[in-house]
Amino acid sequence: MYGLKRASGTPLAAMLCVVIVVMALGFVLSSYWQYVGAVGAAEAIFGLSIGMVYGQAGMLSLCQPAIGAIGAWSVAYLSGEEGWVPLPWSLFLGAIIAIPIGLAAGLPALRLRRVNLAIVTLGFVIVIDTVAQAGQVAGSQESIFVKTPTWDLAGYMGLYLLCWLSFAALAALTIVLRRSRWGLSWLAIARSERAAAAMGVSVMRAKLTAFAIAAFIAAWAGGLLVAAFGSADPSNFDPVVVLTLFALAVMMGAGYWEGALALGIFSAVSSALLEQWGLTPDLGTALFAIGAITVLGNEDAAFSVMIRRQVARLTKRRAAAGEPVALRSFTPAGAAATVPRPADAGSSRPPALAISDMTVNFGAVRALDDVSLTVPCGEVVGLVGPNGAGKSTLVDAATGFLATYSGSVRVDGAQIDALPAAKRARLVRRTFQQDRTIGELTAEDYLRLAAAPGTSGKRIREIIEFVGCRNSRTPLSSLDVRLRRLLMIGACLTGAPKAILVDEPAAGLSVEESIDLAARLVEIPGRFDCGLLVIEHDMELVRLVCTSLVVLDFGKVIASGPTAEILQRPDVAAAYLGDDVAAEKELEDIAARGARAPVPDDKKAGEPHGR
Amino acid sequence: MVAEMLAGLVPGGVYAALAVCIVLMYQMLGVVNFALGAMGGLGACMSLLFVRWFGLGPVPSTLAAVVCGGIIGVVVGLLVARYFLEASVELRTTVTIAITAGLIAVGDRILNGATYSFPNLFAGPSLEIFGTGVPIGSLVEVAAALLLAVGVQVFLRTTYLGAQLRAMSERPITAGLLGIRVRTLTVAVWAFASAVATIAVMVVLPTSTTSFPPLAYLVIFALGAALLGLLRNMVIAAVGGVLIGMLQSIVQPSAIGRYTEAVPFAVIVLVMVWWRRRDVWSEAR
Repeated sequence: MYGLKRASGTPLAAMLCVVIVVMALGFVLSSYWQYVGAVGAAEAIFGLSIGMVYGQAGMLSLCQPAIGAIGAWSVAYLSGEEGWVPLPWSLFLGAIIAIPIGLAAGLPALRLRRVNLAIVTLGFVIVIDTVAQAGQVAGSQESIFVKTPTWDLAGYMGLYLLCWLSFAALAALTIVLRRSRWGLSWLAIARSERAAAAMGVSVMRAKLTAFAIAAFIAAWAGGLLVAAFGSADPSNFDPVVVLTLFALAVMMGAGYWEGALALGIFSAVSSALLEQWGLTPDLGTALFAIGAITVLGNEDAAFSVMIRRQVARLTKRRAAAGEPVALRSFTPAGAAATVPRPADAGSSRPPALAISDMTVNFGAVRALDDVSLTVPCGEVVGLVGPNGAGKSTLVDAATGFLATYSGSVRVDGAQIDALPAAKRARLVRRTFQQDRTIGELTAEDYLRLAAAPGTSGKRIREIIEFVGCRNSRTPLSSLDVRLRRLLMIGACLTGAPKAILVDEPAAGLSVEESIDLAARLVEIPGRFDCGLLVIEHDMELVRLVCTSLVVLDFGKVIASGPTAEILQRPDVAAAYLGDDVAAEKELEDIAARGARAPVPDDKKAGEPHGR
Repeated sequence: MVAEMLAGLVPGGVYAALAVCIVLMYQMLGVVNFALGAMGGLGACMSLLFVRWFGLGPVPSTLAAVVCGGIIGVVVGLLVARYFLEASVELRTTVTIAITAGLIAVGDRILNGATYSFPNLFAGPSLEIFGTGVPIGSLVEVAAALLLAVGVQVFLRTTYLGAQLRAMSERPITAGLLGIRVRTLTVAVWAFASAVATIAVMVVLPTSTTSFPPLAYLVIFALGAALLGLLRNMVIAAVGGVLIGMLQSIVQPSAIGRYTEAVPFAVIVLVMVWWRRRDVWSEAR
């Protein structure tokens, strides 16, 4: 996939170097410390699993280490007394068996979130613990001997190598996945499920893939524990162990591989030291708890986050965020002249977006009442109206974010009412009023996630250039609001939709920035062969970019037609600016002057209220 | 069947009381307290120490344990109020998960291996219901849990302090600017919940084993009950707690008796997913 190899290369090489050093260290360790190190690797793999679901996909699920029990039981059964399947293969089989269990544990996450999900997944931990205590599964009551590969090495070196090779392989898997479409979609749903779906990401698929792969990884770790301990003792997966691992994963920042590695080494070495000093491991648990609470008090204190910051500082790779970009000026005549209209634009072509007879009720409130509007291909249509008029509701309904509405939505002639949001995103894209970009991603990754299948890297770079972003490798969190808004629009463009709905793109921008935005917006329909619906309170922007306007008030269309004509109408002014002669006059002034509208500094306070 | 259901009243009442505290803390402080069982458990264990160290009788040692439970609540509450007052719900909840792990370690230290004896409060007189002898103690316990649910809700709605607490729960910073002592109230709620949890755990202490984790895990079923009340309605949470106790008690002698602990969660997951079936998206808009 585009950019994947290059982008994953550095962390992959760094991880492999560290693991090779750790493995080489095994040859100088005593047999006891080889054993401790092997257990540490298994715990580090649990860290990778927690990091995937909680650290990357943002789901507060506590059950990942408990799923490790599935791997443990499988290995005990397959490689135990009978020894049907030798060890590395039974690990793999156990991990495969755990995938459906992981999916089952993930199903509640489709509707339950945050603390609700934490409670339900803790219930899952109890279920696993109960099954283990019931003693009906292999290795949970009796001690069994699992033959580990020795490779003719002394002490526990065979086990040590097996565990660390497993870590290297699974950490490599997480590093590659992090930059894949799946991994990007996990970050996207952690940020905002609606925004993810609007980019064409299936929220269900993203959640379930995270749970399934995390289950595979956790089961592998559980299998390794059986190989080390020689039994699938229920106490290895009881709620205290699971909660402690979770606390440690938070403390170390296990969303990154180095956090998981630190978790494993720290957990195993501290337990071993406490044991050697004649102290019980519960003291270690208490210490981990204190460490985790400290990290939670300052989220940047997670081990992996601190490491990354130090590395970035040392290598000075943090690019300067603020390379100034010249803002474009707007010349209406010039812009109109340079916009290449699609050759087949005309009456014969179906409109980019056609909404007919749309009605939406929220309980007793009728948010939209029989609304119809059309956005022809190659044109920019404005949708204006006071706050609460139903503009964003219309966007939600058209893009599939409302459970029920009546009426129909057609994109390029095709009726899309039966499609869910993520599927509609192939034809129609939208932006949100709030910034819903994903801070951890670079512009390139963000657009890659949003892109239609088969979009070339060249196309993505073109779009990044079109929106005026020069820092395509910098995390979005370090870009300014204007660039992030433009990138949200750029993300829509990479999906090659027939229609794009932009919801208040100029909110929070300065006058100059709004004009720059207008200059770019007006180019979109011709250059990207689509129709554009712009919702905006900034009348200057609307006047500059829209060929026609639709005015909504109280959920009804009160006017529609060519922009200049509509802006002159007194009933529109009354709805928009209130029944105030001065306000009407102001609107006439704007139209007459053709200069910048008197936009108040504080846009929110200055937003028009029609009632 | 009836006999089993009535036998489930004892654990049911405990879950109910803990569930009411969980809902109270979620509503007032915006935290789902996973550590409540461990806090109450630690308080309850103190009673065993008082019996052993000072030879206190059951009643004074129980009272001393409740005070200890309150103090544990104050300590944890101060920690949370000091460092996590403006944190998100999830973050505060994760903190309580870490606290749970830490408290279980401490509790294990206290209880580990030693055997303690404590008089069973439900060994007293019993009442004949449907031909089954039910200890009056268990009826009192369930009544107390339900009364707690109703009492707390009435308190919050009708008293000045209740109004202050509600103001704090909705807008902690605004409430602070209005002169409400947010930190003091936060710590007070923690102390109250921890003291109630201590009493609840005391109920099952004599019949439970000598290991600490099961006491801390009582909270898991209470969390399930609180979830049934959508972390909002204390009365539904309390009734849910009693029903979970009864359900476990019914399942116990059956063919799936080994999996008693797991059954309530199967029910809770199904109920929750059904209730939340329309929550397709994480955010409202």
